[in-house]
Amino acid sequence: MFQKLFKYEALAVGRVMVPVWLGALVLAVLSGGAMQLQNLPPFSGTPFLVILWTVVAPLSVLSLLAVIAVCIAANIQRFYTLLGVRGYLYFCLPVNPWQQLAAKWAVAMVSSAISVPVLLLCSWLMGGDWRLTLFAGDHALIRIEDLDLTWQGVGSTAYTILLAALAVSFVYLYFYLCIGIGAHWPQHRLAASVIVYFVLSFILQVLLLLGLVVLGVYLYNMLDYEYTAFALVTDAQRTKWTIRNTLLIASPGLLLAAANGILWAVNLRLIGKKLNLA
Amino acid sequence: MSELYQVSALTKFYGAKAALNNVTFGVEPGRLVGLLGPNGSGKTTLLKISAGLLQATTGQVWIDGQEPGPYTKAVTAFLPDRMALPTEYRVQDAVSFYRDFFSDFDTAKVHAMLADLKLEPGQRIGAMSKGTQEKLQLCLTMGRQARLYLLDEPLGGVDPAAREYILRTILCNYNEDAAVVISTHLIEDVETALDEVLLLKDGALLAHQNVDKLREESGKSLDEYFREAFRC
Repeated sequence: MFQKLFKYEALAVGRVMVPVWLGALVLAVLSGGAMQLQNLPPFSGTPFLVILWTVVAPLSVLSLLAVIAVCIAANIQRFYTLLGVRGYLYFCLPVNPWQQLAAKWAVAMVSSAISVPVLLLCSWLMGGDWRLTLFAGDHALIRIEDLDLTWQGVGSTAYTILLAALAVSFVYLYFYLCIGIGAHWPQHRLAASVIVYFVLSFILQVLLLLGLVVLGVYLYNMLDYEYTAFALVTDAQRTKWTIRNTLLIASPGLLLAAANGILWAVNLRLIGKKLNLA
Repeated sequence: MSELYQVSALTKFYGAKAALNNVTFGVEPGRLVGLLGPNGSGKTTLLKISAGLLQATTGQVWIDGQEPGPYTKAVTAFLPDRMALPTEYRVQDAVSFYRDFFSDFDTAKVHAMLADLKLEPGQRIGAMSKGTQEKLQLCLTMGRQARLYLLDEPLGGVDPAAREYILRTILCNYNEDAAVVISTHLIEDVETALDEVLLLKDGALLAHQNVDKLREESGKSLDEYFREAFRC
């Protein structure tokens, strides 16, 4: 059943996103093409190309922002309608609430992931130097010489991608939470969701700030201790510091993973045991 | 015969207001039951809880011996009182959607019903009139070979000719072993078809009776009985 839900969800989001992706690519081709042609002797200074590039270049930049905005908005809107009139269809399906949530979340993540290469490709096309390959030269999409293929390099890249994925997941699940709580005020669902978003965001920001202050004080004390005791460091201490430093590096990932887990559980409860369709 | 649809001490509060108050009844298979009551009497709330779209404050619902969940949704066909199909869908998309999710969906029967309505597979739902959208939704609901049909106001908001079509569609298409619960306040239209009646007033169950017996005992038609019971 999850695959079927995913299919229909992907079709619905794709119906919105595919034209946006294609539109951004077309604008990037026009913008980059106009720039490239202007550099060729027979066409340089052609008024048509100058006007075309002047018009299309800003639109092309805006289309990059539109890809991000539409991707987030389309996926959030899907969840919003699930807790509204569309819920009368979807919640009558013989599926578990976790499958409903997972389908929405998975499509949101996949559409966001597809948007990344689309944005990279658009940026490269807008650069206007298409003579170079995708993987070499100054304007390359990804330069081979910049890639760090050591274990450490691959590990840190994988960790960065994981952090980005967890952060994107957090954003969607957080919006789902606000919509889920807002749905308990059926008469003013949208307004309630917006209010919940601002109130929860404020509380989270205060908590995050306090957490950062505590972390900062802790790190300051540790660094001071390490510096003064550096000459006398023992193997046991070195092992302890390595573990601690590893935990410090991993902590953003662990924190985001925990936050995702909590949001997932609360959202599941909101669309399961606490479901109250307006 | 064991009851297919059971409701026990069902209560639902919206804030301090009780939308349903200690409602208990049971429906056997093969029965066509009218869920009657004025606006705000709790009809939609009862059906939504039974369909698993709303959580009861207290009390229980069992359909085929199970509480609302994936199993009951697989054997229950619910028609909501509003248009729930995505308006960007075409008729064929809606049919595919139902076929994909409901193993009891009879595609051939639905195509026949759609042909009666002169609905083309490529027709977009958003471009249809409200009445046609309602008829399409009803065809999809009745196209299932469900054990229980919960129909919330299927006759509301459509003209008398459409009401006749809808009622005929319901009566001709439900499985004989299935139970049908129709919520409506257009009693005259359904009176002759009903086996039993559930009367709700201010969230409480006023009566659960056999329609023939009620007519016999009261000496009135169901419509007259309803008007008297709910006179403002």
